[in-house]
Order: sequence, then structure tokens, then C-alpha cells
Amino acid sequence: MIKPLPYVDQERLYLLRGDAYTNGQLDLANMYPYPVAVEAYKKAGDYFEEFALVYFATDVVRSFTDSPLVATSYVTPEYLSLVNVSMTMGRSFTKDEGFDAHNPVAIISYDTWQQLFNARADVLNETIRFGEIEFSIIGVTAKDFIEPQLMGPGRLTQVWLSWDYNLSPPRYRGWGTFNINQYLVGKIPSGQSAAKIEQSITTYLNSRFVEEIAGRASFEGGSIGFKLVRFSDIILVNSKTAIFLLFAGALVLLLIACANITNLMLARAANQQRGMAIKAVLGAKRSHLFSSVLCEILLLLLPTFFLSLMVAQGAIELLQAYTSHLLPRLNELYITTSSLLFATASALFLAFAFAAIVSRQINCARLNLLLQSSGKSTGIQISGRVRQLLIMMQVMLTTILVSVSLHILQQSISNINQPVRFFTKNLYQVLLNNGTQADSSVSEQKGNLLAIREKLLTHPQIERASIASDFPITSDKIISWFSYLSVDPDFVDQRQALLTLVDEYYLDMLGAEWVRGRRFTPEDLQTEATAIIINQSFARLLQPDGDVMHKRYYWLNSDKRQFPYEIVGIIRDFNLPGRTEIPRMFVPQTSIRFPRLLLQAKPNLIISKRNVNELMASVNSQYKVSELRSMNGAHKELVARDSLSAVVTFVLCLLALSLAAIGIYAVLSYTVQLRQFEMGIRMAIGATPLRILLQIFKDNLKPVILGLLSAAFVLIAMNLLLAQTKFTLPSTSLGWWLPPLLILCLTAATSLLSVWHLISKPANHILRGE
Amino acid sequence: MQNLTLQMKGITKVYATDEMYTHALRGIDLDIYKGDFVSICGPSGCGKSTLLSLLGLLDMPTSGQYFIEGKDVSRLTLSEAASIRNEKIGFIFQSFNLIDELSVFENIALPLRYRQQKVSEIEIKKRVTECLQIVDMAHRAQHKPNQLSGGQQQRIAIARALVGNPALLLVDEPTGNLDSRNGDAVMEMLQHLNAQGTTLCMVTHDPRYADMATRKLHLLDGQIIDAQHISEMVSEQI
Repeated sequence: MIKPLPYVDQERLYLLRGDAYTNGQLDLANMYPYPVAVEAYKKAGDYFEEFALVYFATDVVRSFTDSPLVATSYVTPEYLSLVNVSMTMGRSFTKDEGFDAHNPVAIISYDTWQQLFNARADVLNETIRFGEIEFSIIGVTAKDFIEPQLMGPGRLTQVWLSWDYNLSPPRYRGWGTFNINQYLVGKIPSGQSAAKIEQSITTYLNSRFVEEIAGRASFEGGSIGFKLVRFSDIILVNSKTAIFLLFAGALVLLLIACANITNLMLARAANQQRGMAIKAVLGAKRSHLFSSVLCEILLLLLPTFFLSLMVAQGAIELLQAYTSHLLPRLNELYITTSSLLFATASALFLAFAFAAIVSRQINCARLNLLLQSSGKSTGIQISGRVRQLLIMMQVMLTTILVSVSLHILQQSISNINQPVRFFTKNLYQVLLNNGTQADSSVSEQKGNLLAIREKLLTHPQIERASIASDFPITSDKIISWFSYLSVDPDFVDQRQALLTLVDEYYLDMLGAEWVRGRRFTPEDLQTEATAIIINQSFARLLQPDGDVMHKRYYWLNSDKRQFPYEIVGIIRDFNLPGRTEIPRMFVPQTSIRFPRLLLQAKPNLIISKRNVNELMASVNSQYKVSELRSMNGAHKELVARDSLSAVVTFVLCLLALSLAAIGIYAVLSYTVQLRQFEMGIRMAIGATPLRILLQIFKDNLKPVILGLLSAAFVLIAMNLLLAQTKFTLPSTSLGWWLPPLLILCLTAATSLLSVWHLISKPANHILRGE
Repeated sequence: MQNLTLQMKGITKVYATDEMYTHALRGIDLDIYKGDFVSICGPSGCGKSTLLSLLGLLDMPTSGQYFIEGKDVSRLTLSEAASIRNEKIGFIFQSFNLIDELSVFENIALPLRYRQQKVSEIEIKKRVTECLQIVDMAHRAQHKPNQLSGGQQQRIAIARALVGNPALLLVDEPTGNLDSRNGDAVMEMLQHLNAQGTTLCMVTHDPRYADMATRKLHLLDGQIIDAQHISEMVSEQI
């Protein structure tokens, strides 16, 4: 969160984000037409010191037989110099490969070179084909090159390509088509205000946009606006809360560990008191005793230090392997010299602090008395107040950490287990890349898709197949489209919903739950009937009582815009975890710009990308699978952040409770050691072992209860404080009642453990100090 | 036989370590009757304290049988031993063994609070007050033990031993930590208790106090070498 990005003048690097408005109301977020990006690029010299265009995409490598899907970035040459690219071999893009140069060249990432090209040394003589274009490979980025993850954590470019070949086909490069994932990026001049530049750009680009769309009815009242967003803000977006919570959790754990080590050190000092007494008698001053304690701590610290470094390295590798798609900048995380020095300094500081705390607790006068005593009197070395305070602190910190962790854990588990209200078992969602067919006629595309669907049904592993434009669980590789319904043909009063074009099988294959109405029929599809199925949320949006069956609305994107569509069915809202269900509308149509397939495998059979590619090739070789993932997998990805939270919070709970158990046990065991003779007396006059255990438990309860009350106070205060901020913590019943119960059980268990050696043998042994 | 308070038959106690076995007691046979005042004497390491521990169920014998008021107590769990100790036996230690954190009153009340059958607070107060009066310490009920002299602390220890109305009072070097004046006073009190019917068994090094008992046991190397009624010895001398 704090470390500057590894680029020159990183604080001046910005991305231009655009939104579309209709009559001042946000219409389309984070997208703008292709010509606007080009205009911005041409005009950028007026505002930026350096600038570039970038288009983030995914595409199928057609020069490989298994058509791997790779993350591509179409860039103008300045982009890679803005992010200080370094190369393993070859070179970066030059001006000859820049805007409008039409020179198809590619740079591959180090990992792509390793994985797709087996690290071949002659890779620079090779080409890589996307669509119908062969790109000459001119370079391989360095292993240590850190790409800014502007499209979210874990999204790393595998192939950089010349901007001119970006995936927007010519017919989608008009002023009326809004594209996502294309941006102007630039470095603002030193001392210039981003807000001022933002305003100037918006004024210029909006005037150009308004000029170009003038007279088009569907763009009436349309405008565009821009925001300059700092690279660091984009990279950290959505992750600040997670990082903050992780950091807070680690900090509390550190505090518990500190209290814990102090406890252990004090208990150790108590064990050593006789030795210390002898040293004191022989003339040792407090400083001598301090040195002695410090030496011992340092000796313990040395192997622990190396062990903890190994654990830290392991944890970093584990995080990078499993959570790089969830947390930003993990690829920059490693143990550096400065972090090593910091850890060493912290460890030394803690060693001195612990030695000081322990030696301050040593009462030299009492140590001398100890030597003169018969040995039966233990002479309290570490005050009861300190012991109680240590237990209280430990209990308070543990309760806070466990409570917060349990709140998050329960919320995460609830999200993971939440029924989504559609089938996920045996279903596969398939993204298609239609190559040159993207520019073919609507009827040709439709014919191809229907033929592919029929062909797929001949495969023995496929039970059912359906065509759609979207899935209930979308990924960042899927563009979702919103559209509008209106009661009037002029769309004065319009309502927005997520649009999914579907065939007659889609909703049944999904297992959508019907509230009212009917399914789409083959006739609906054949005639592209003016029928619409919507979900409950959209029904309520259209009419508060949701009773919109058989009502008619105009659909904004329809070719038959003048004819109203009839609501023929209402389905129950999907129930995606952690998300409020959005209004959805389903239209019977299979002429789809970005087609997708929903496949249902026969029980216990798996559908592979190769199977689907082979079948589609027999219809049209241009169709390739971009991505095939199971609906279960998609659901797992959807709850990946929850799964990570669940694992992290569970580990935090376990660590906190384990540390607390060790710490509390250390103090209790020391306390019992001090009270050993008293316990012996009690047992001699008839106290049963159970009585002794209950006595110890009761005596320990006071600091524990105080710790629990303090924790409750802190937690309530924290909740009240957080209510004033944008941070929110989930509140669950488990998170409130379980931590105190666990702490009480922990106290009972540690009480039993600490007193077990007393109550498990005859009283005589205790009185004799055995 | 009705007056037999405790009986030991062939009691042995062996302390075992990894390296060696120590035979602390070897075949002890002992009968103590109601109203007896038995003193146990012998050199250091002869097994006096071990015998007292076994008598008080603070430890269990390695072999042999032990009966208290006719009940076999040779093989008890720690909880069962604690209950019998609580109801049948009172302890008086050399170092008083009062709990510093508790008041004199609470120290004395402790055995009653450990009773299996709950004793009411009124009853506890009545019996503690009686015992405090017996040892003439009623005016110190709310004091802490460390505010009292050694002699006073031992008197409190006697009161605590008496409060449960035990069948047997076990006394371990009661005067060891006291000066002669306080020691004499404590012994006088014990004699007085015995005269009132309390059964006493006392370990002591001091022959003067050992002679105050009605029976004297001599221990050597874990065996009783002589057990004779003092009264018989006295009559023989006459």
C-alpha cells in the first residue's frame, strides 16, 4: 500500500478513464468509443509529458494447435517505456511500430517465452498468429520486469502487440460504439494538477463526441466525461480493505506474540530465580542480571530468527502461488535487504525490551531472602498485578482478533455456501472466438451457431447445449451488456437491466426458478419474437408491485424498436454471494456479436476444450474456444476472495488461540508454581483435586473476565468508529459469542494443564516440593 | 475393638527412582485407640514424616493395609483420600502452613468449605468461633496470618485442625518453629485437647515433649523398634 510503484515518476503516471452519460445520468461506466481514444492520443501532447494507448484483451493464439488463450495488450510504443520495460532478449517497440504504422510485431513476456516457446533461444525468428495476422516476435521481457496490473490483481500481459491490430474490428470503431479495456495512459508534467488536465481533456473530447453524434436519435442528450486515475490507486482499488484487515490482523498477532514472549520470559525468570539469587549474593548488580537474561534471549533468538525467515519465505511463495489473482503487487513481494535489516533491528529491539522487562521484575532484596528461606516459600518475584495484566492483555487481544476473524470467517463461509439458485453441476460455460466470422453477416453467424449447437449434441459427453450472450457468473473476460425497457417509444422513462440474448434451452439448462409465465419456445427463436423474460428485481423496477406479466415495453436495442415486447415470464432472482441481484432481462435471439455456449456434460463426464474445438471446426474452422470453464469452477472463482478470507481468518484464529494458550499457560503455570505450597496445604486439609482445579480456574477468571470486557469495549468502540468510515466489518452472531466461549474453554484447559502436576499426585509430594 | 481409631498392618513404603529404591517404612504394624496421645520419635531419615504422611493419607503405602475407624483406606483415589482427610483427620504442621492471603477466620473455615456436604455459613461461623475460643484467639479473627507471631499462628493452625471435629489429630513437630515459651504453651494446649478426648499422633524430636504423650513409638530405619505405654513404664518404675 505504501511502497512506490517501480516506475520513474510513478506518482505522475495516470490512466484516463471515461464514462458515458445520457442527460447527465451515468449510462455506461468505464468505456468510451474507439475514436475518442484516438482523439485523446492525438491531443495528449498538450497535456502529458509522455503518453500511450493501451488495449487489454485476451485472444487465442492460432499458430498453436491447442489454441491457447493468452492475455494480450495492444500498445503504442511509448507504453512500455512509460513502465520502464527491460528485456531478456531482443528490443522494445520503436516509432516505426507505433500508431498507424501497421507493422505487426509482438513482444512476449518472460513466462510466455518459458511456457509457450520452451525458452527457445531462437524465438526472435518466430512469429505468433492472432486472428489472421502473423506477428513477428521482436523481444522477450526481463524476468524481473514488473508490469502495472491495471486490469486487476494477477492480470499479467503474456503478449504485447502493436496497437493498430487491436481487437476492435473496423465496424466497431465508430463514434457510436463504446469499448471497454482501452485507455490513454500518460505522465502528467511535474507541478501540474491532474484535476485541471482532466477538465481540459473532458471539455475537448466531449465537444468532439457531441459534434460527431449530433443528429443521431439514440444519442440524444449523450455526453462523455473523463477521470485521471493514478496508477497506484487503480492497482490498489478493491484491495485496500483486505490489505488493511490482513495488516491489522498481523499486528494484533504480533502484539499477542509479544505479550506471549513476555509471559514466557517472566516464567523462565521465575524458574531461574534461585540461580539469580546466588549471582546477587556473589555481587551481581541489576545490570549483570540484565546481561545474563539478554544473552539467553539472544541465543534463543538466533535460530528462531532464521526459522522465521524460512517460514516468511514459504508464506510469501504460498501467497504468490494461490492469491496473486486476489491481492495486488504480490509479484513484488520478497525479502529484501532492507526488510531483513528491519526484521533484525526489530528482533534486537524486542530482545532488549524483553530483557529490560524481565530484569525490572527481579527484586534483588527478595532474591537474597529466597536463599535464606527453606525453599518451601517461593517468594513472589513477579507481582500478581503484572501477571494479571499480562493475562488480561493476552485475552483482550486474542478476543478482538478472534472475534473480528470469526465475523469475517462466518460471512465468508456463508457466501461460499450460499445457494445461487441455478445449476452449477455438470455445466460448462464456453467463450467463443469467431475469428474472421466476427465480420460476417448476422444470418451467417446465426446459422453457424445453430449448426455448432446441433453438432455439439452429437458428442457422447455432451447432454445439452445452449447459445447465449452471457452467463450468470461473469468473469473479467466477459463483457456484459446493459439495455433498457421503456413504456413509451421515445424512451423518456426507461429502466436499465442486464441483457442476455438466449436460445430456448438456456434458462432450463440453468435451472432458473419460475415465478410466473412461460419459457421461450422454438417458434419464439425462429421468429425472434417480441417476448421478454425478466427476473423479479427487474419486475419490481418496472413496477413496484412486480406484476408486469403480459405487459408490453419497448426495448432500446431492438431492430424492431417500434414494436413493444411482451413480458412472457418472470424468474426468481439469482442469489450470487456478496452481490445484490441486478435487474436482468432475457431476449430470444441467437444472432450474437460475442457468442457463448452453455454446455451440460453427461454425469461424471468432463468436456474438454479440444472436444469442442474439433466439433466446431467441422462446422466452421474460424470458431475456437477462448475459454472453457465449469460453472462450479466459475462459482469457486466467484467466491475465491471469500475462500481466501476464510483460510486467512481461520489461520489467524488458530494462531491467536494457540499463542494465547501458550501465553496464558505460561503465566498460569508460573502462578501455580508460586502457589504450589498453598495448594499442598489445601489438599492436606481435604481439598479434592477437582476443588483445587476449580479454585485455580476461579482465581484465573478475574483477569480473563476483565480481558473479555475490555475486548468487548474495544470491539464496540471499533464498530462505532468504523460506522463513521467507509470501512465495514460484517457482524455475525458467531463472532460475538464464540470468542468468549473459546477463551473460557482455553482458560479451563490451561488451568487444568498448569495444575495437573499438582492434582495428579498425593498431597505429600506437593508439600515436599516434589 | 470399638475404640480402635486406626490400624496399620504390615505397611511398607518404598520410594523408587530410576537409579534406586529407598525403603522408607518396612512392615509397620500399629494400632491407635480413641483418646490416645502417641508420639513418634527417631533420628532424621528414620521414616517419621513418611509414617505421618501415610497416617494422614497424604501419601499411599506401597503395601500393607490401613484402616481408619474400621474402613480400609489403603487403596484410595486422590479424591477419596481428600474426603476422608477432610472429615477424619486434622493436621498441625511445624511451619503452621496457614494461607497468607486468607484471614485467620477463613483459614480456620477452610476445612469446612471443602466438606462434601455443604456446611451452612451460620454453622461455619459458629464452629470457627468456638475453635478460636479454644485457642484463645477470637480477637484475631480478621487478621492475616503474617500479622501474628509464630505462637499465635500455631494456635490458629490448631484451631483449623480442630474445626472439622476430626477423629485423629496429626501433629508434625508442632514446636519446631517456636521458642520454648510458645512451644510449652502449644504442648499444653495439645495435652488439654487430649484430656478432653481428642486422639493425637505427634512427630517430635524433642524428648521432653515426646514424654508428654501417653504412648511413645521409636522408629529406626523404617521400623518401630519399641512401642510401650508410658503409663506402664511409669508404674513399673514405681
